Amino acid sequence: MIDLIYIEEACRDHPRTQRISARFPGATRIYCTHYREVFNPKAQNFRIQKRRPALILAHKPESFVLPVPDGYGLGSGGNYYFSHMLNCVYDCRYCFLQGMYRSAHYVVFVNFEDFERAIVDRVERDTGTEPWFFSGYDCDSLALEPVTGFLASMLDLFEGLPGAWLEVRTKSTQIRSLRARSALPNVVVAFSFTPEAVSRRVEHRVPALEKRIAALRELAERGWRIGLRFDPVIYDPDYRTQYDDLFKRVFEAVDSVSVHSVTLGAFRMPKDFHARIAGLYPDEPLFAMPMTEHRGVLGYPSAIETEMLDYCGAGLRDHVSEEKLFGHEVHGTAWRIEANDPATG
Amino acid sequence: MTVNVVVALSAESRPLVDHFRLSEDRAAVGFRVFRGEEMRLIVTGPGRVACAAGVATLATLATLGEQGRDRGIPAWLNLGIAGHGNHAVGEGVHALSILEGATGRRWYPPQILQMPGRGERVCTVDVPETGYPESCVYDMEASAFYATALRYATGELIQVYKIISDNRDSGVENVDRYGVRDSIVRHLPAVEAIVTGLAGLAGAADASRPRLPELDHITTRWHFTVSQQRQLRELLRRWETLGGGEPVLDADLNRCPSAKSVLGELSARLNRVYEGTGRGSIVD
Repeated sequence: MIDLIYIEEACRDHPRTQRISARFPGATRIYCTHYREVFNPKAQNFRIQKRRPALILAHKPESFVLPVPDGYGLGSGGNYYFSHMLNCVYDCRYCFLQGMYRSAHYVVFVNFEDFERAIVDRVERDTGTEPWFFSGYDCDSLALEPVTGFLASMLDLFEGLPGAWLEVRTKSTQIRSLRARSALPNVVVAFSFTPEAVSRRVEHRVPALEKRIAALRELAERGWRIGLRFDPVIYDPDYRTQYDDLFKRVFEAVDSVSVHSVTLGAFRMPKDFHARIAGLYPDEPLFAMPMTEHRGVLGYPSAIETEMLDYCGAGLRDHVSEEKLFGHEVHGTAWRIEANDPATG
Repeated sequence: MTVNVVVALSAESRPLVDHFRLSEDRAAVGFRVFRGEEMRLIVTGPGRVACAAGVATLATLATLGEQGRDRGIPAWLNLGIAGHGNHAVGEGVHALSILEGATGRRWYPPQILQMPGRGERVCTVDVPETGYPESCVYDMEASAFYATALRYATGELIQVYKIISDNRDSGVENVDRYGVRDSIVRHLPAVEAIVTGLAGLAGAADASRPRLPELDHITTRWHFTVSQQRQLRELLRRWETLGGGEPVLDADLNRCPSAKSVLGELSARLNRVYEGTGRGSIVD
């Protein structure tokens, strides 16, 4: 899978660098001064690099935990995200990472201990609230877990931080590190779903819907709190049938008691990212559809977006109670974020 | 797709010209340039300045000399001899990274192709390196080649392949044109593999260029400002994807009195994908 590894000189002796590197004995190793020398140059083609992405092992010097953008949080406390990894092993055509980064290489920051320290500091500063920490914004939280072991170390950490919440967002079926221990009450495993036909068309290399639903079922049965993320909702002339089928299959697999929260969000993309991805995939229907702009973000025309979210929201209310439902849309504000707080409710 | 090959020495070019059946472009000024169906080759002379000028010249010649003939996005290959303290004379290596000795700048050509030969760090120096102080491949052009070619192509399509001509046991004084030519001849299968791989990769990159078969006709029929041309290209790109193969230039469009109304008609047509036309499916 990985046959080329770039290693920052500063972390070549880090035990985690050596451990991860040792997993790929046949890989070519290239040492660099800073990962940005490899990752950031402009003249790179994300689409071509997806054919043979390399692994970059690097040391993150700062900004370990960051506030989430407005309207993206859960709960009434602070909402933060962290990224131990940049880029994803999957290749979802709607993913903003294609527009954000020039390179498709996977950057793994090996200094997990600094992320852990930053999270503990944040929890101490937010004493009295129940802060949320989101993993999986710039990568899939679980897909490379057998290589990185990041989630396993985070679970150890959050076991000792009962006042803080961890959301692990994923499309992966790599659940060994979760299977290996008892469920933690302050950890939500959030699976992202699109309808099967959409997934097959635009979520390249993602495990089949059936397998992800099986992983979801198993974790729920083991007592893990489950997040369901129907985000982005993708337009198709047949979207009603597609989402009806998806909701039916997902909620047949998981008891609503196990469901911690459900979020629904229309497809949206910063305008410059959209332009860049359309340049990479000019024949991709998703990036040919007419979109409207709202504060620098492109989304479906307001009427379509509202229609889809209303339809899907109604469908979800057949399965889960209102207080577990959250949503994001481009043209309005995030809905029900303030009114309903699954962290406390 | 075309591969632009850049060599420093005439002795390096001869076997390539023969093998790939290239013919000399007599119109080229300042450098010897050869062309074939899928390849262009320039002989730059040794050193960074000559190489950078050669790359720019070849890129410009390609644009000027082949107007009206779309060869897509070109790939670039720097091929030539180099030194290394320990590697055997005659061994082929490809550049995993390039260090420019004079400036300390570094580049990491993305390795999407499975390149032949050992992957190495290439250090570009301004005078032949005879002491081989570091464990790297010493050459005189790679950094200038790569930095200049990056202005014309994406990094994945720009690669460097060197053949070791000298080492601590057999110094640079033993290198002559016959040895250089023989080295290239022995590596022709590797060069062929690189050229084929690069051409394939360039083809993949080219796939991301939108084909707009009706653009020329429309811009001839109506007058578009520069800004309107940009809008038109974008609308046509989207129509090519969502239009289900239907030609855009139909009776409705032909009735448009102006470029502005053409843009309006195309926008309206695209917006109808949400009106149950069946278009706009992303799962077909």
